[in-house]
Amino acid sequence: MSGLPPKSSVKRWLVTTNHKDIGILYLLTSLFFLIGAGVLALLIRVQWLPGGSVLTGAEYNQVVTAHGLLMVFWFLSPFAFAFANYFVPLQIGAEDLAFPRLNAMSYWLYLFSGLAMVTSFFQGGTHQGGWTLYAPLNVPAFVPRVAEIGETTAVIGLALFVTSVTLGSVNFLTTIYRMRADGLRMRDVPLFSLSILLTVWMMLFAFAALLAASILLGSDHLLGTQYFLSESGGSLLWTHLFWFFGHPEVYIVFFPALGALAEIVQTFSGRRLVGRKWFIIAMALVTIQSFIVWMHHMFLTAINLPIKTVFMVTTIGISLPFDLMVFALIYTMIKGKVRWTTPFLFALGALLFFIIGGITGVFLGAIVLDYQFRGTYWVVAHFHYVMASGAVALIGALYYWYPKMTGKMYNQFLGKAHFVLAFIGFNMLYFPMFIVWETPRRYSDYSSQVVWEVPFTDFAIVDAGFTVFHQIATVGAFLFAASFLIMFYNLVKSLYSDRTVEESPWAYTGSAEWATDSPPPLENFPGKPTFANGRLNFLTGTEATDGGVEVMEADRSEPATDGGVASQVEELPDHSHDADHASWWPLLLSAGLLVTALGLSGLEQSYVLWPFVLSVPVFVAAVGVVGARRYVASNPEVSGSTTTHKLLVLGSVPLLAGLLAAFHAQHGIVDGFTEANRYFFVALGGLVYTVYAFVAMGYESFEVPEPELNEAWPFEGVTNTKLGMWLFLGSDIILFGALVGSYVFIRFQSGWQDWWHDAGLPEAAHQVLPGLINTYLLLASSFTVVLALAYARRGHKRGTMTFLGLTFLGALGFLANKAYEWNEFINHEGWTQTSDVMGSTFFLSTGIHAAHVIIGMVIVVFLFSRASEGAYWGEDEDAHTIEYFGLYWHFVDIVWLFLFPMFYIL
Amino acid sequence: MSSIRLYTVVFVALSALTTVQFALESILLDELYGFTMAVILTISTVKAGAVGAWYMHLIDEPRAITYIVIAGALGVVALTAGAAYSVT
Ligand code: HEM
Ligand SMILES: [Cu+2]
Repeated sequence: MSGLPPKSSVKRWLVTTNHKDIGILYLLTSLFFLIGAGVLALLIRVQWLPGGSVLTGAEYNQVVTAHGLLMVFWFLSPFAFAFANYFVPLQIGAEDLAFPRLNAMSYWLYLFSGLAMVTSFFQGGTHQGGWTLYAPLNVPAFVPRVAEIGETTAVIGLALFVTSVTLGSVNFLTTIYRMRADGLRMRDVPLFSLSILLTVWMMLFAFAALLAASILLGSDHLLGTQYFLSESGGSLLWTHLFWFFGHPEVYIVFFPALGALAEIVQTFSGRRLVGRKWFIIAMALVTIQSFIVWMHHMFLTAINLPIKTVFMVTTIGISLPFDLMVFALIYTMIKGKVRWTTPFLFALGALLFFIIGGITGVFLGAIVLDYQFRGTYWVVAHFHYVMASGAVALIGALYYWYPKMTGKMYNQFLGKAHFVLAFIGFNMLYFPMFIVWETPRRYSDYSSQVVWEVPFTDFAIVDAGFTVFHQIATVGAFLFAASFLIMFYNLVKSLYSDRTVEESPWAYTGSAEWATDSPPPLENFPGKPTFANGRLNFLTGTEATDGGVEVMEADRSEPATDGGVASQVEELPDHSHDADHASWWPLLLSAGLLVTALGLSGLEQSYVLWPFVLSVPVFVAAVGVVGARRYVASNPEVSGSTTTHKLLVLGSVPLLAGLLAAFHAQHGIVDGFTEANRYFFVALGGLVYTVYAFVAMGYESFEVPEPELNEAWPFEGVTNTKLGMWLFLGSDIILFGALVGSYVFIRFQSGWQDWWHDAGLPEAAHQVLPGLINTYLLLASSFTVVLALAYARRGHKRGTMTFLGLTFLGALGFLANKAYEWNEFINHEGWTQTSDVMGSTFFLSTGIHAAHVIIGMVIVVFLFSRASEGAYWGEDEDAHTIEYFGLYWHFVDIVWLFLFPMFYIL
Repeated sequence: MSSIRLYTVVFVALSALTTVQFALESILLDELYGFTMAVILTISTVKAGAVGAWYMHLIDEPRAITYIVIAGALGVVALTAGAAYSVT
């Protein structure tokens, strides 16, 4: 599929893979979640009015939790990524992201994961334990039965969201490293894009830890494992995993805002950021440091004092680069000539909020102070100042880039009115929380339980002072919310106004997005952008048109690329646009995953049926492919994988219809469906469809030209796909590392050497041999994969197919051996994943690994079938497919190289 | 066919190292637990390195790719070591 329907057509927004369209989709969706989560916030405040008890305790907890989760995950980050999607390719002079279909998938998974989160409300109630999901509070043993399904949906929804984020990180990293316009050095990339680069680095690693955490939690819910119930550090395990993710996460939400802040301050001060180089170095430092401060969230847990001290020091250390950045921004404003536009006001306000939030954060980083502050409104006020500062900066970004995205200018007066109201509302809302900081953070009714001790006396005031301040906060909350109505009115109205803008409505804009039309055309620029002579030029095959904006001046000493936009159009041998921009599969595949997720949420009783869940969809996809290929073979006039793909598209419609019909018919067909069984069929159907869509997407011919004439430091010499693959593996290292690390942690805590002795398993049953055999088998299958690759490179079809076949057999042997071993444990020794935490770690770790082996086998079947068509030799991109698969397969092998000693030898 | 010879040598070495791990378990583990454990885990790391270097062709790729892998590995070490130390 290639043609993109016009913007007025609904279909366009369902099939588009263009980064600007997807940016718009992110923008609208994130604003939708902002409104939802904002209403929840107002509910919290209403609950706190005198006599305003509108919610029960349990409802209140759900509202607070959902408010936090939705704001952090489904509003703030995606809001930032609306701009990242739209502007990163523009700023670096690329035509699109590296993997457009993957990008569309990130969006759909984001939307659907959010819908799953919202759905959880209606499944007997959503999660209640706060956005940190502290376990074991929320594992089934401690959750009322009615709320169990909603709880699980929330966890699975989170896992879907993480998938979306991981795909997005890989995509942005590959794009920014490999698709910069000619002459655009890394250090000259505009600050917003640089901040996104660092953000996605943190995302790639941090979210993998969250994925590990949510897999373990999901497994405790669905499979009855006991990770977080474990008395050997189960609850600490959660805090470690969560905060190893959670601290980088707070910078993940703030960094894009910081980048936008820098751009806005530069433009409206009319000068380059003071100390730009140091600003970048400081951001890079924070990126790394963010992974070694996590235990400052654990000062009141059982961790020892020396480690607390270490983390106090690293926490104070991380505040230093921030000081530098703040001063750089302030100094730029002082040295420049400020224009008080709407975006600038928001940027300034955000900076102010960030300073207050940052300073109060350093208080929290001091162990002794945190002993007092932990669990109070000081923390609530702190993180709202910093997080909402990020939101305010991004609202500034919206006002900054709105004219570029729509081609229309909004009303400046209304924009400023929005700012004034928001500024007042924000401070009225959050500042009083510092004053009455002793309010406990997690009570739904604070009034009767708070005692305000007057320092140095014996007096204690009960309640009194608190009510007033909290009422002020409530008024502030409504003011703050109301200010957004002005924004929505202003922006929607302006869309239909005739205040059109040309390239740039602002003077002194520096980056490349301002050198093209507003909104930019599908291929972004009037020609191929190049910075080869230090300024932006467009190379084109057609006639020279003047498509430029004014030339940057304003005391810039170097021939800056994040700066100077000249417009000059030169000759280039015709560069035709043959890229594809539309595909249905990202939407369909994500929808399949959503259905699967909803099905899994209620599945906890029927896990014995899981082998079917895994095998049936593979079967269906195979039938689809084989059928399609038969058809192609018997009609010689049509040919090739394009036709196969067309047939798969056709097949998807009856398949979907069939699944839907089956869902509705369920009750009638078989009597005595239990609740769990019903969910089972939903999960099964979803998975069938997912696998089918996955295979069909593999057959779709989707042209994305590899970039040429580009800067690709430091990744010259690899293709985009290979880099993407490696980045993905990088995050997988954290995922598996965190899973194995969890095992190490629990085992360490419970006494390393007594481990197997404590398991409900006869000593004799714990043997090295099965692991040893499987190690040989897996190593051999890795060997055959590289041999298959070597033969494919030589154009040797028989050899390629033979070794692919042997790989499959090796994997099959591995699974057979494992099945035999598991059968011994489960059916003869009665030792399962629910028996004890030893069983939980053993079965889950090796089980997840085995699932990866199965996925690998599915791909081998696919490769084998394509190889029999003669697909993998020659020089085209296709020839690399076996190599990319090899990377995955060897990685699975490497994981086993560690599981073997961990679970079989030691 | 030199690449095939290389792959074969690597495979033989990997299998041999696996056998060494197995032998260590049966001979030494009970007497010298800590030391033997360290050796066994080191061997696993070496094996992983060999798979990465030759089967995944890391030695032929830009060095920056290796740094991605190292960054991920450092993250795992930080998390596991930090968490384990925190409960000593
Ligand atoms: C120099 C800057 C910062 C320092 C030193 C700092 C320090 C801390 C500390 C020590 C805590 C733990 C408090 C406790 O629970 O007892 C905390 C909580 C928190 N911080 Fe910061 N912080 C800083 C910046 C930020 C930024 C930039 C953000 C987000 C944009 C942020 C978001 C949060 C959040 C969300 C929490 C609460 C987590 C929870 O729910 O328990 N912080 N901060
Ligand atoms: Cu933190």
